[in-house]
Amino acid sequence: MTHIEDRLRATLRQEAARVHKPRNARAENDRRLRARTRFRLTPAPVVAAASVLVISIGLFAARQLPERAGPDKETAVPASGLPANLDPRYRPTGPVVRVAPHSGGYGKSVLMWQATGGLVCWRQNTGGGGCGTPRELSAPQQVCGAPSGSAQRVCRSLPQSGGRHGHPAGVFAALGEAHTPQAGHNSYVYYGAADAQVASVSLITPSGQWLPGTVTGHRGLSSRLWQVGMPSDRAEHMDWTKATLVFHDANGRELERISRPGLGPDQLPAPQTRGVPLFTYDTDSKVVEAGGTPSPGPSRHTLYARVDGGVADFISPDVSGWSSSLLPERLALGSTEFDTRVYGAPWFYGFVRRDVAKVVYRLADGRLAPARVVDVGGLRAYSVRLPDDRNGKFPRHGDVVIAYDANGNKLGQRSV
Amino acid sequence: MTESLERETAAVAEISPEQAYAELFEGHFEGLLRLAHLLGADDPEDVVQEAFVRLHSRHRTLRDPRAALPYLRATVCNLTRSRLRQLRIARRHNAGQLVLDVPSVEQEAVSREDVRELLAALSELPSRQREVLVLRYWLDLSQQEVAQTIGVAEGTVKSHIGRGLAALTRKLEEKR
Repeated sequence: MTHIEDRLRATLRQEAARVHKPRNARAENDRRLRARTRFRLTPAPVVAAASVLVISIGLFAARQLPERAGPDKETAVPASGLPANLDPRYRPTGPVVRVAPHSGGYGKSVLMWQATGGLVCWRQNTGGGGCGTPRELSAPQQVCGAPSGSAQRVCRSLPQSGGRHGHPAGVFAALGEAHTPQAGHNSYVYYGAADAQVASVSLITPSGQWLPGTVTGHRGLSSRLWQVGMPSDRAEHMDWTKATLVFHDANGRELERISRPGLGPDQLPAPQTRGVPLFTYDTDSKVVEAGGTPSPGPSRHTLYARVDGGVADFISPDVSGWSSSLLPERLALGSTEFDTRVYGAPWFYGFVRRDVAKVVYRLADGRLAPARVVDVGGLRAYSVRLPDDRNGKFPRHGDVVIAYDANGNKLGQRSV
Repeated sequence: MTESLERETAAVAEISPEQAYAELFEGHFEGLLRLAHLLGADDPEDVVQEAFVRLHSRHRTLRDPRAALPYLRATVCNLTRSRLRQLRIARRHNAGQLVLDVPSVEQEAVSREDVRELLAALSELPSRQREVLVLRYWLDLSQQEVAQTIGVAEGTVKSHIGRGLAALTRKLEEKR
């Protein structure tokens, strides 16, 4: 035995010990076997047509979301109308009621319910929604949102006004319907809770027009739930600080006016499902600068991918300000960055279609970073940790994300 | 290694192909992953997953348990070699931009300088020589088993080992 042989053995042993089996190896293998079986059973012309479709749609096109793909784990809806894997934070404490828009008004037909912690939640028919806490008069309020569909939410504090009778919980802006994503128009709706005296709600626009809303009560609800909406053209050009909410009792007596609802059109529908963990990352107190809840110091967090009907996002539930909501139009872009380099670990992640078996991040210098890919609802989410040797230049011009199907065929690629 | 394999294969002789496949996967996925990594695969997991998928489609191979593991090793070697060849072609079209090797980005820095040197020297060897050295000195396969795995004559294996070790020694001396 020579010196070089000994050294080679030791080196190989040491290097090999650094490689470990991924936790999801068997699941990934099962998925590939299923995909391969499906491929074999598919008649050739259909395969050819599907291939053309894949290319024409583009690598990450995901405009058509899970509703049309049929219910699955993420989208199955029980009798209550809520997803089976509803985030426990939004679990109803009473009945789930449908609140339709007033016949002479605007708004959306949504499900509403009360949840733990005094939350009032709403949910749109195409999946996704929001929750807010009815607040007392003059209590400070933090609004988080991404009105233009930008990747990262921005939070800010606003003077909050509430009321004794009608308590605003929030404003949601729905960006079109999932089945007509090209329409892309916003409709804004105030929603909240009210006491038992309240029988009707209206919104007075800055131009003086009265828009009627809906109030719904139910034996199992501790409060009445209400919504009042406005058409998109008014909503987009409206000075929200000049809107007024008016609440009346059953005799038409005005109970209260909330002259400055204090809520901007910020809350886009977000997934209400639990999500699938993608990766963990460390943060320090700098997370405060991102606009979220102040973090007391270095801490570890998990990023989750969520798909809920027509909306999807990535979120770290314990770090406000780091969630990003993706509507169908945004999903067509297929990917969003999550650059945590300031915290020491640069990550890139995004969504791809269900038929993508493998995602590889190719750096401009030719190195390849295979991504971890997991099923989330009717989509798949990928995440990849990139090297730390770029001095913060990340992602860099020339980086490419490439997707392959289960047979190793390249479905397409996208410049980062 | 051979005795161990025989014991393993005797044990799986009585079980169904699916069970044998599952046991092979559980027992050898990580080892094959390490093999692909040492051979320089840029995405070792994909290589090994593909090898298992191919094995699964060959039920005859599963019915002869002794052939399954060598088949997997050979497939890993072939897929890695093929992938490295594709990368070399890609680099020719992007001359000056790409690094010679394709290290895993999840790979942490190797702490010991001499280990890093040897790995770098190994990565510069021709694919066949690298395969032979890894199979011989990491998996401890006999020259005959190495020959069967990569589909060459035993004499060729012997030649690759000799040349590979000489090249490694020379490269390491050049760097000093």
